[in-house]
This record gives sequence, structure tokens and C-alpha cells, in this order.
Amino acid sequence: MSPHRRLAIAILLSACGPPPKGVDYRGSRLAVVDMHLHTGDWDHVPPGTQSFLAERSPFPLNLRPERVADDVLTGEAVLEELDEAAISAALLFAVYAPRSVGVTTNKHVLQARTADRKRLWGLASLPVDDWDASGADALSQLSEALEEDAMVGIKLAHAHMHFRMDDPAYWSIYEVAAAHNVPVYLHTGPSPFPNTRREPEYTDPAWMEAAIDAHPGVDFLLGHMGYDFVNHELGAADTAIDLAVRYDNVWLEPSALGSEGSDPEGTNLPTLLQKARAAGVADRIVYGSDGPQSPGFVTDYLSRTLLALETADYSVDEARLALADNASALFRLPTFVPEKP
Amino acid sequence: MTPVVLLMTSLAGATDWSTPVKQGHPTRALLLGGSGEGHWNAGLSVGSPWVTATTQVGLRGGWTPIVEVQSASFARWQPAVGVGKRWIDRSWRLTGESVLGWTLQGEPVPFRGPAAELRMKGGRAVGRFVPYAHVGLRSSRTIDHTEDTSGEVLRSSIRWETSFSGAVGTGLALGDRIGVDVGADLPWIDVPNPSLPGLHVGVHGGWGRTQ
Repeated sequence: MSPHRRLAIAILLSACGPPPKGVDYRGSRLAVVDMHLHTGDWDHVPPGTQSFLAERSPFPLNLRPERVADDVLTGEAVLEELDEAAISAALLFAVYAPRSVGVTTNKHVLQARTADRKRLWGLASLPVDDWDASGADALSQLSEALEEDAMVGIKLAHAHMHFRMDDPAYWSIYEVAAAHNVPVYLHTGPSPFPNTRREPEYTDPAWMEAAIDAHPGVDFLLGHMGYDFVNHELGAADTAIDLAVRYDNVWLEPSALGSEGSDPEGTNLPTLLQKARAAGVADRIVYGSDGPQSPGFVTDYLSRTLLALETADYSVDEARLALADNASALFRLPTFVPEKP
Repeated sequence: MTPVVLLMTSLAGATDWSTPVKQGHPTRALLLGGSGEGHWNAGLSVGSPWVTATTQVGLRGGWTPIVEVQSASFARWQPAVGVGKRWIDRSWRLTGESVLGWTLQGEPVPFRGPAAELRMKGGRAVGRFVPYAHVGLRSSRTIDHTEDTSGEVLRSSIRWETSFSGAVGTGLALGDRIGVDVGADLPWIDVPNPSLPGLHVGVHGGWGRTQ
């Protein structure tokens, strides 16, 4: 093959391939880990939530939302979104919330991450319904899931799963986390989905304090930072930040609250990042998007986050921690290095 | 001059729309509305998301009864009957149509109820080409039921859906009794929820008297 032809093919391949992993921030190149992505399938979403999701999709996608969902929720589809956003790696969530947002089993997450074992990991979860009778079995299955190297943490959502944050009956879940030395991700803040619990006992991270205090060896990641997705207000964000100030084992994840739908004016994310920085916990932010939601969302959320980091005056080192290194340390992932453009 | 321009020029100059047979041409009748008196027309357009089948017949005075079925993604069906009336029929044609029918949509966003639509079709034949534009306003009504877990209806409420229909494109007469078109569908279904545009290709045929 002639050098010219080889060069032409190389140019063609580079033009067609995904962009190099990493983003530019204040003149530095940074890797990105998205610690909050979903996989699953439409059939395991309750009918009320299917309608809720369909009603929020543009016509004609609302007529066949299962096609859209199946197109964006596979491991392969998640990888495409990561490639488009130049993100190095991501965590996929298991979910057991049959009355609200549906079920994505640990097994499903393990299957989905086989799309690329070097870029995808999972957070395991467990069913908590009928806890008195089935709790022991559920804990056993959770523990079994965490034996897998691919499962690097636990995902809980009290509002979706209908159990109180302050109920000690469920603290055995945190003991499993301690035994496996993995962090616990918690959805915090009121959720807009049908059949979710919206009382403070299920949504306000203040109600988590007793559990956090009682488990100093477990890292707790407060998802959405207490943001109120029902009223589109900052909600319990100050409480989440205060907990991070007072407890070294509390981390903050600002996913979804800065999206086009939740934050059309683009003020939520910079405001909360500024508050965290002012409180001295800028080094406790862990980036997540809550995608894939729809094609392009993962890329868009990263763009909005970079803008918010800049607005909140995060240094390059703080941004490096937030975008990738905190996730790598917390979930014991490899340290990701950005690729040169 | 490129071959494409040469072809377009030759096509554009090839048809005399003033002859009776062309006045009743099915492409003109279906895209601009209003069949020629005594002339039956039928059309099928296939696209994403819309598929539409239409039959109409021309009566005296420019009146045109219409029977049609529209489907979006084969998940929303809009059967209807109605009537069109040619308002302007010179080099430009403008037709008003009104139809009554039904809107049928299944899970996960069910909608089943009567519908009425008013629309205008207009355009001008240029050679063999028939550039056209459609606009319409559609209103549908359904009854939502809230059920408990046993299926018992707890309450019912009426819900109205307002939509705009629209399309632009161009037809092409292939012969005296057959033509095709390609166009963009620009609906706004269930205002103010957003809608995505669509594309379609259509084929039209005609039979019967041609004046």
C-alpha cells in the first residue's frame, strides 16, 4: 500500500471514529467518568411510569417509547453515548423499585457492562419490599452480587423504593457495604416519577444523618444533592452540603439537576457547585449525569457541567477530582488519563 | 447545464394543465384538493411516521367528498370522512376541507375519541410539478379513567387534544392518471407538547370522467 493511500485511510478512520477521550478545561486536558448511567428494559418499568415517560417524549416518539428506550438503554448504546461525549468510563445502576421507576436487576447490569469491561462497571441493588420476610435473602443476593469485581458499590433510592432513610431496620444494607468495602449511592430529593414517596423521611438527606454517623467506615454519596425535581428548587441541597462538611464519609453528586429540562436557565448547577466550594467541600464532588435519557443527553450534561465548573470558579485540580479522580478513588476504578486530541 | 437541470426543464415544459384531462389530474386533485366533477381519485402516501390512504370523488360545484385513514407509526390511527370545496381554481388552487372522524391511540398514552379537522390545501401546477402546502387544525376529545388496582374506575375526566397539521412538498405527474409526490410532514400533535417533522412519498391515481 502506498504511503499516500495509507495516509488517506488513516485520515478517513480518524474522521469517522469517536473523539479522543477527555475534555478541555482551563487549558488542561481532563478525563471524565460518568458515575450515574442507567441500563434496563422497558418491560420492567411500571405502566404508570411508562405513561409518564411517554408523555414527556415528543411526537411521534411517544407512540413507541419502548423503541427509543431499547435503543438507548443497552450497554452498547451507553458506550456510543460515552464515545460521543469523550467519556472514559461509567457506572451502570441496578434498580429495584417495582412500584415507581421499575426494575433493573444486578444480573442485567452485569450483562450490560460486558459491552466493554474496561469502561463499564456497576452499582448493585436489592429489593426491600416485604423486608421482614425477605430482607435476609435480599441481603444475601446483594452480597453475592458484590462478590463480582464489576460491582463497585450499592445503589439505593428511598423515595423510589419506599423505605425511610432513618429506619434502622435497613442499616444491615450499610453493614454489607462495610463488609465489601464499597460506597453507597443514595438518591436524595423529591422525584417527579409516579408512586414515589415525597415526604422528607424519604427524600431529605437530613434523615440519613443517623445512618451516616453510625457507619463511619462507609462512604455515602448523596445523589442529586437533595435537589427537588418536583418543584424545580434547590430543595435540601444545603443539608447535603452541610453533611459533607461535617462527615468525611459524605460525597456529593449533582446529576440531572442541571439538565435542560430541570434547569433551562442554567443556574442550578453553578449555584450548587459554588455553594459546595464555599463550604470547603469542592473536593467531594463526583460527576454523574443520570443519562442516557435520550440520544445526546450524556454529551449535553457534560457540556453544561463544564460550564458550571467554570462559572463556579473550580480550579483545574478541583475539576479533575470532580470529573474523574474522585470516582476512581471512591469506587476503586483505574485512574483514567485523557487522550490527546 | 447539468443533466438534472435539463431533465427538470424538459419535465416542466411537458404538460399543459389547462386541458380538461390535466385539470382533473389525481396528483393535482389530492395535493391541492378538490377532484374534477365525476372523477374518482385515490392516493397512498407512505412515510415516517405518517401513512395516509385517501379516496375522494368530484361533484358539481367543486364539492368533493373524502374518505381517509391516517396512521402515525401504526400506533395512532385517524379514520375520517369529510368534504372539500375548491375555493380558487385558476392557475392557483386553494381548497378547504373539513373532516369528522376518530383518534385512536393505544398504550402507553391512550387516546380514543371523536375528532374534527379543518384544513386548507393550496398550490400551483408548474409543468408536471405540483408544489403544495397544507395547513390544518384538529381537535379531539377523549375520556381518561383513573382506576384502582382492582380495575374499578374511581373517576373519569374529559381531555381535549388540539393539534395542527401541515405539509409541504411537490407532486409530479407521471401520466394522465397517475402521479407521485414527496413531502415533509410538519404536524404539531397535542399542543404544546413538541413534535418532530416527518417525510413521505406518495402515489396518486384516478379514474372516471376527467373534466
